[in-house]
Amino acid sequence: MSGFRLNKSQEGDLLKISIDGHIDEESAFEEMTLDGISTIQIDLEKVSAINSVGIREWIKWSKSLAGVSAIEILHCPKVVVDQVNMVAGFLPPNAKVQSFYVPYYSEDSGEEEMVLFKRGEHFDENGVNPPEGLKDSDGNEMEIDVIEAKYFKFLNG
Amino acid sequence: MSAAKKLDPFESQIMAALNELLSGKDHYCDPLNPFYDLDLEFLVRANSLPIFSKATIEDLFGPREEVKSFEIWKLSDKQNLLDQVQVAATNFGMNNTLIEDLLACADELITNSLFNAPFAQKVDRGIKELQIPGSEPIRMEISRGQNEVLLSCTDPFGTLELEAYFRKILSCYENGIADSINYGPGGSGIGSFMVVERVSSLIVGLVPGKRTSFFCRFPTRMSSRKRKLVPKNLLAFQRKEST
Repeated sequence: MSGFRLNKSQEGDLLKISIDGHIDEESAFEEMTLDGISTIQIDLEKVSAINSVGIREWIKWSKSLAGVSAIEILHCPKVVVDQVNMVAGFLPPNAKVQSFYVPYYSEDSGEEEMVLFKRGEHFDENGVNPPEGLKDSDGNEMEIDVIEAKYFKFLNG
Repeated sequence: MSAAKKLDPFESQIMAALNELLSGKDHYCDPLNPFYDLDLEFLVRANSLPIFSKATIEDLFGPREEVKSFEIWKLSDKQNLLDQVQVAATNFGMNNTLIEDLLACADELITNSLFNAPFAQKVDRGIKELQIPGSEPIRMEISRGQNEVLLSCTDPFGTLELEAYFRKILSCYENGIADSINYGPGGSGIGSFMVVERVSSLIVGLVPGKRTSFFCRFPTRMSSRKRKLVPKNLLAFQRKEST
């Protein structure tokens, strides 16, 4: 089993969805009843991987959410950001990423860290404002470990 | 189909490599790839072997510092296998972004081998009880060399059509991924593209009717950013064997 789980809860006209595990051929995306829902928040913090069949299943499911006014994507992990950049239409047009993870790396120690970039604080429509002064456990400076033109591409779209 | 896609230099390099293989060449190796010599050495070794279909990882790549081997018969064991590969990769000291890329390749290769290699018709991805026929499993190995790690996936069917395989990947670059996704029966049609996107070297070894192997090489001790800037090597080895 891939450990896929989709949890949902409703607060007024806000539908909160969180997805856990591996999005693949076994992922059971259920049809949503969106009556009375204006905004959907999708938290992807615990998505560990998505494969090529999972991409197809995600696109089919996310298209079915197009009827609401806004979709907010939270805690988007690198494995999903890569797909957002690579696959046009991975996110529906009414979806906006509110926060996503960026890998940092220390050339000295080889240590890695995932840093959460938040809309309004670290990025907005005008560009990216990365946090500075991130250090590894030995005090060495860590740098953003992506090709920025590719990884931040989705912010321009 | 969408308007002509604007290519970046990385995509252009991969497309050049794919076109070389589609023109009948057995390799496209870039001198700036850290595995330039090692990958060419594979071809020398493979060509010198009397029987490719039974060759081990050491036969094909020389001595390895450590090898972990796994086998799989059915789809329901896939996540367990991926978990074991993840443990092995972690024990090899690989960093997390590299492990993510390696696992993504392992997933695509295993899924493809289970669904496509043994069957003539497209198989619905919803079949959870899927099991391969025959007396030999699909084998996956992860092995460590100096500053590199090699992931291999071998099926005993040897049904891959090399030209169609490379042409499908090329079409993903030409048309874009969104326009390449198959929403009909069978796989999504983009799995092989996703493998090529993540590896530094991809070697395909084929003995029709007997063996298809994929070997993915990744540099270790390198930031993810530098790893993504490495120009890719693509190689294809094919031989008919009667015994």
